[in-house]
Amino acid sequence: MDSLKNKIEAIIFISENPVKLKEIASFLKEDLTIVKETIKELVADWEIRDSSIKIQEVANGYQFRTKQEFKDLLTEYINKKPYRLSRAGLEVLGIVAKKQPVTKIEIDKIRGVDSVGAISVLTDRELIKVVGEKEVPGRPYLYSTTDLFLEVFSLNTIKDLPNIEEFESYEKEIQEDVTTST
Amino acid sequence: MSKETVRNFKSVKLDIFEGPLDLLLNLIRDNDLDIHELSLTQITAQYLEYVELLNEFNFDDIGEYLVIAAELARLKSRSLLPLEDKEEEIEEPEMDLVKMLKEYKKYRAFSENLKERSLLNRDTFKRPEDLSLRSNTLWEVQKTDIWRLVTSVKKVLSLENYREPPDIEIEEDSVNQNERKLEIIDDYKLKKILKFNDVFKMSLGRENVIVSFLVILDMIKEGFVNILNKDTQIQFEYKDNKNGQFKE
Repeated sequence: MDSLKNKIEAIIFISENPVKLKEIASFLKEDLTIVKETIKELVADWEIRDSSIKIQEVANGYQFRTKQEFKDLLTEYINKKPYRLSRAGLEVLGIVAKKQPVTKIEIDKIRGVDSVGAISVLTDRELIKVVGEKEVPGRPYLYSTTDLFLEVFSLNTIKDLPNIEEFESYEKEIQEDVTTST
Repeated sequence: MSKETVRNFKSVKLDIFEGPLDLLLNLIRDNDLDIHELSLTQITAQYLEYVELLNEFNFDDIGEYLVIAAELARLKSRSLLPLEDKEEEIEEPEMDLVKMLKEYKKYRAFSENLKERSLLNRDTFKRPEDLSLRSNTLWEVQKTDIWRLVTSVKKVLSLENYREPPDIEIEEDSVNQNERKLEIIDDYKLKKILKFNDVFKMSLGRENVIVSFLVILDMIKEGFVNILNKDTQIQFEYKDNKNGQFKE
């Protein structure tokens, strides 16, 4: 019962934020590679189990989450007005994710429009944050994405995002707003 | 709608529109064109119609739209010039609208792609934070054997030197419970574990022992102190308790 695998599972289960490999290993006083292997097994176990939840590798850690198939059921069950992320917000988020650390002026320049509203919403939502000031006249703030951004967008690291050049010839109808209740 | 009414809408205003580059890209797409200078000159008239409309809505912030409009006008006029004259123009600083549009288009597409990801609280859910077992909602069952502590204190009090003080003693410092508590906390600041004899200092008198006992009981109740049964001696372990603070 108290196998290493079960101990790790228990820790991931009760954690509110994604738990990092190092955190688990140092808490359990186990070798990093052994813990890593064991987590791999654990993730695979949950993947094949007939269950509505899985262990997601996200924000450089591990987190129990529901599987996508239960999206509609749970949305109905939770029954809350979702938080809306506007297209402007999403664009700014995309630019920050790719260009970080980046100033507001640099964001504005790409979008050809003032992004002050979107930046303040994203900052309030803790999807981006000020990480410093750029060493140029006026010392403008530099923005980067947060760990919460990784968590919300199911990314393990920022490097998991596709290369921006892949979107060179991308043509798709722009649709309605994206909704999330984060 | 009066101008005043429209002005009040300004705060919600242009954020809804994605800006002049977005408008241009949409016009290019709607006209089945590719992004190059020639297509820009083809859609200039349509673009200006939109800007005029925005102006009619009385949005003050259309400066960004006007900058692009000016650039479109410049491209258009240049396209009308004979070829020789165009080459002379190269020195002139200009915004590279085509490059800007291409760059913006990439990010616009990228943000669309971002939207398709599995989003937490839209596509997938985790246990909500307010149900977390961490911090304040963490329950703990007291393991401390209070009777063992009482027995030990009783033993101390029954020792010869803790009998009732003789009547002849004139002065007796009364021991204040709060002061004693502060003393114990101070001791804890020096070491994490206090021995029974550190807390129940025989030399300080009977009243002190009783007050110390009450203080320790209080701290155990609040969850700041754990009793350790080390060998035959009782020790007190100080715990960082996030549920509350010492009432100093």
